[in-house]
Amino acid sequence: MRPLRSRGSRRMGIGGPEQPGHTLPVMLMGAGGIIGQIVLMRELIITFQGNELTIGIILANWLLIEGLGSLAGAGAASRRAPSLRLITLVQGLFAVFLPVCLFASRAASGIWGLQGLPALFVMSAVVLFPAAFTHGMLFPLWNSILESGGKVQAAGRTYVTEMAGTVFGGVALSFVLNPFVQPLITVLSISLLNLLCSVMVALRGGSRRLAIIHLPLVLLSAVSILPGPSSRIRLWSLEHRWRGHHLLHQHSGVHGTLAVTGGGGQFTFHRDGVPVLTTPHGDLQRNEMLAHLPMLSHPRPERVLVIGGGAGGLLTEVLKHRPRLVAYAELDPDLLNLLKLFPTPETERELSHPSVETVTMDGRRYLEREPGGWDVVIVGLGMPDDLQTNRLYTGEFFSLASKRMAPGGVLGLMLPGSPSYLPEEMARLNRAVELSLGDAFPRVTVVPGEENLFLATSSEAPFSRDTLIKRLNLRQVETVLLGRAHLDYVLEPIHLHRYRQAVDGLPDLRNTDARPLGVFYGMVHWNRLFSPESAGVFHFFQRVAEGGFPFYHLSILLILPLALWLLPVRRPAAAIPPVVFTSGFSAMMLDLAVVYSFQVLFGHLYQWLGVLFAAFMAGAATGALKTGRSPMNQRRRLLLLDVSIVLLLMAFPLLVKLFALLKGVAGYSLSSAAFLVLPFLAGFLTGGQFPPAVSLLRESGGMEERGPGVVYGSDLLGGWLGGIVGGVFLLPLMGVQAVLLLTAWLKTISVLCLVVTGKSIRKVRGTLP
Amino acid sequence: MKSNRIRFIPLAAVAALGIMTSTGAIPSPVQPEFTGHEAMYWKSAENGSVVCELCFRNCVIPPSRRGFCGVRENRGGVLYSLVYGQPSSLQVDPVEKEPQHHFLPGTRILCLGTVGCNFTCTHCHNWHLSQADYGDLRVYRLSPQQVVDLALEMDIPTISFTYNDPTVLYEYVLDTARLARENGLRILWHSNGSLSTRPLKRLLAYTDAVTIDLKGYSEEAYRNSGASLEPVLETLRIIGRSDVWLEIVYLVVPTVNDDPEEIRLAARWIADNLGGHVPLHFSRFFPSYRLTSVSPTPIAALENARAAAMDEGLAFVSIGNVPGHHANSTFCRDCGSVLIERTHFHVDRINMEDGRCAHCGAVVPGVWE
Repeated sequence: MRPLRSRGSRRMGIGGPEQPGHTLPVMLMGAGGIIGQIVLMRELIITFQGNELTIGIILANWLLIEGLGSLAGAGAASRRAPSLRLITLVQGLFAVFLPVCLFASRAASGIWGLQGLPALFVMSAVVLFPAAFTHGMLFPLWNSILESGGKVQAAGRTYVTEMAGTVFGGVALSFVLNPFVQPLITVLSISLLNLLCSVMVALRGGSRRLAIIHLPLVLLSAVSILPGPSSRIRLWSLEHRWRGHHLLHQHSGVHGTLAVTGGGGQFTFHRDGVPVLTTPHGDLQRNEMLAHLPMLSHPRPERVLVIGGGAGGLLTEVLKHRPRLVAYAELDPDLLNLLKLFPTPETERELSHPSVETVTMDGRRYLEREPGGWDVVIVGLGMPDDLQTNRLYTGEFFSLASKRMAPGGVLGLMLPGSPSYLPEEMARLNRAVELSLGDAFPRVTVVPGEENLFLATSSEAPFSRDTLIKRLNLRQVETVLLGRAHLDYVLEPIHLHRYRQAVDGLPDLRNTDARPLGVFYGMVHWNRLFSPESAGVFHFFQRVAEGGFPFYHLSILLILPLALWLLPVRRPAAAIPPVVFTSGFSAMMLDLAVVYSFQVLFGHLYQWLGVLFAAFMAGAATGALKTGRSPMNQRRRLLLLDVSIVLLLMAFPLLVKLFALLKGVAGYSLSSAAFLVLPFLAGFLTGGQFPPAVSLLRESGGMEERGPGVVYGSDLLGGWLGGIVGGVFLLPLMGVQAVLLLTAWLKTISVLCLVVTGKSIRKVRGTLP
Repeated sequence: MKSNRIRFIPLAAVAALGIMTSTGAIPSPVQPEFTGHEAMYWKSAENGSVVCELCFRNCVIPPSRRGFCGVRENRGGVLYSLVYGQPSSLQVDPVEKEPQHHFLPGTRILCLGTVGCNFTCTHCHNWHLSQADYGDLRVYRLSPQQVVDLALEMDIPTISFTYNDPTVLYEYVLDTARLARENGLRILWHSNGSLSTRPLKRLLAYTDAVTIDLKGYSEEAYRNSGASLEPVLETLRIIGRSDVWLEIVYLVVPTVNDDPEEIRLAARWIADNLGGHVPLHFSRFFPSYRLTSVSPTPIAALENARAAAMDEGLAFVSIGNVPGHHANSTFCRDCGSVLIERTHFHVDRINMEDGRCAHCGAVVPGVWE
């Protein structure tokens, strides 16, 4: 979760006045930026079938490109007199580029072989470039215009105005636009508003010709939003994404984008571009195995909880055992609505069955809330390759499930397997989940196959084929595949023998909430499919992470004396870029930690993404304002903020635990809202560093010209590196706590640099005549 | 295996034929190593390069480089097989899983596969083997003699080279096949059908049955596999003229090869060139490897494909990967009664006697004993 523009782009202290009539355009700039950023991010996630970790890469690219745009804007403003015409032009370009980027993202779906991490990195940069670059140019251009008014105090107000727009945009997107408005309409509306704004600015700048030039675009945008044309444009753009499919429906909801394709009497439901369910002929083999083996492992299953993936066959199989209650927890109400919109006899029957109680809620939350007494819990989802799903495969979840189960209860779940060869990352995933299950349940049975089935129970009764067959016959359960022959086949010792050969001997790592290894292995797996040549990068980080945490501390301790020797002695001002670099890195790590923690705690990140971003931005703005006005010595102020960042990094896991406690006391909604304090605080501390850093560089000799640029570049580089390395590799591999501690170490170097250079400055000043 | 003499084989009897195999004979996997086994079917070229003539690609391989398949390496002007005696996958499956419906039904096969492939199908089910780099995966050290001994020890009548394409481990397949035949075992391989003529004919001399994947019936469909249709058709013609039992699989992949006309033309070509007796399996696709955004094949599309193929004169057309579908069984082409009743890859009943329909006595082509 990175703000839509680097903190560095706000050239605080330079600022001019906010002239009447500029409030709306500047607010629109803020709102348009965050809405464009998040809409495009969600589109790219579908294109690349990505998960929350890819957010780090997309965000880093947006940040970098917007930063470049800001530099270009600042350059343009410094070369010529501030011009409303230039702003009009750039704002018009942004308005045009935004929908173009959306189309480009959808069209990229059809580009052959366009998957994998390198492709995501390059293509997201290409797709985002036009919109992010032009948006980045806007702030310095507006700043230069407003500076020309001569009111020195106005810069902060402009900054706040833009932040207000950002916050407004984030909230509107999360709670109004995402749930109720199609992304294309959202983007076209932003374009229209920007074009109208351009016309207004052009008229104010005295350029009627420029205003007239914009008018056709305004008309075009306005017409595009009308129901008929917008529907046609939308279908046209979606045809590119769903090339070769017969698209029946697409809906952008709070938990992702759902689409339905069909043909030949079959419906396939896709979430974020990935097929999740096919009706009426789903994966029968999977449904029978996942339903019947846990149900048959229990002597009398009466209360059953199915978390996700129930509709489309799994519930039908479970119901064959005639349980008293089947609670079906499905996070996404949109999916259930679509199943009703595109019904089949099977889905209608299972969802309206008197024993089935459908709950549209995160399964883990439901398990926490309900008193329990479950005889069987079935996790019906696939691979835990995103944080949302991974929450149902962690030690914490298994521990909760074991507490909520009746004595002898059985938990069943599936993980990717392979009868021919289990790739290393899949073997590691299976092992991590199996070990986590083993910590919560005394007995774990693995049935390897195309997908490996895990049965965990506290029952002492041994897992026996004969018992399963006996119960199958006694309950008169009719199955297509699962019978004696199939059980004989799947329980052949050779399968388990080969599974054990693949997983035994791998490191004893657990999949936990704070260290979501499942997500990392999912990412490795995804990358291996599409970009095996870059697998070495993942292996490198994996080896280093498994080498042990002290390795990091040791390496930093070795770097530390070198840094202290090099930086302060020669030029005290040289300490500022590393300070800003580490702040940029820390800001990004804190952003991503907020995303991680929010997803783990509350389980509905997508809806809140915009609000979390906005909270960070609001924090950054407030921080910059506060420190800009503070009478404190600049260096001392920077040092104080640096120390505070270190403390926040170290205290973050504890604060998250406090919010977890608060969730139990105050409920989800209130604690979700209170959680916004964390991104606000992170933004406040890191955003507040920019003004003193720029001032300090300006004070130091020879840095007046290049100073802001150097600080700006350092901040960008830190944030960008944090997004790429931290988001994709470090956080899932090492876990939130370890990574934040590592970042705290890094930030400690910057604190020490400031302390030592402070002494150097005093020394230098002391020797002056 | 006496399945042909049993009119109604109960399921339990099939299961009792050796299920619950001991695993003691399976070795532990280790890291691969260079064994120095020289490849077959290559010739020297200029500047120390070699030309591999094993498959249609005819790769020109410079010194210290590997061919397209990634497992045949030019070392000092000599081409070596890197995977000889080093399978990465070792499994026991029912023969129906290949699929082979007319070859010793209800028996088990010892399956082997290595790293590497000369195709790059975007929907490959065994991509983690076929598209892996040599050295990335662990292997079992098993000489051809050890493979044969393992099959004998486990009382498995057939050795099957499957998972990745047996073309790229040709020497290993050939040596194992020779030894298998000497020891009374059968050899089956499942291939994309891209072996060159000479090595193909040589291997067929020691082969009992072949399953060929037909990836489509157009060059466009084969582009999805980074390959070409014509060499595959030539392979099919050669196998069709031999004594080896042939079955063909057509995995119907939406958006890739599911055009009804293309499927009809494929069936017509098989009937005209290989004969109406050749079993054709239309298999259901599920998202796999790089084709994860494509929907599973609609059942109706498979049923339409089957109807079209039978209309073109093919007698034994089945639908696979749809457990419980009636067309997964084999029907008599004369009287229409069920010859072999299957659920997925489990045989429920065999209604045949001495290779004939138990109901009308019509001869059923295949290998039954």
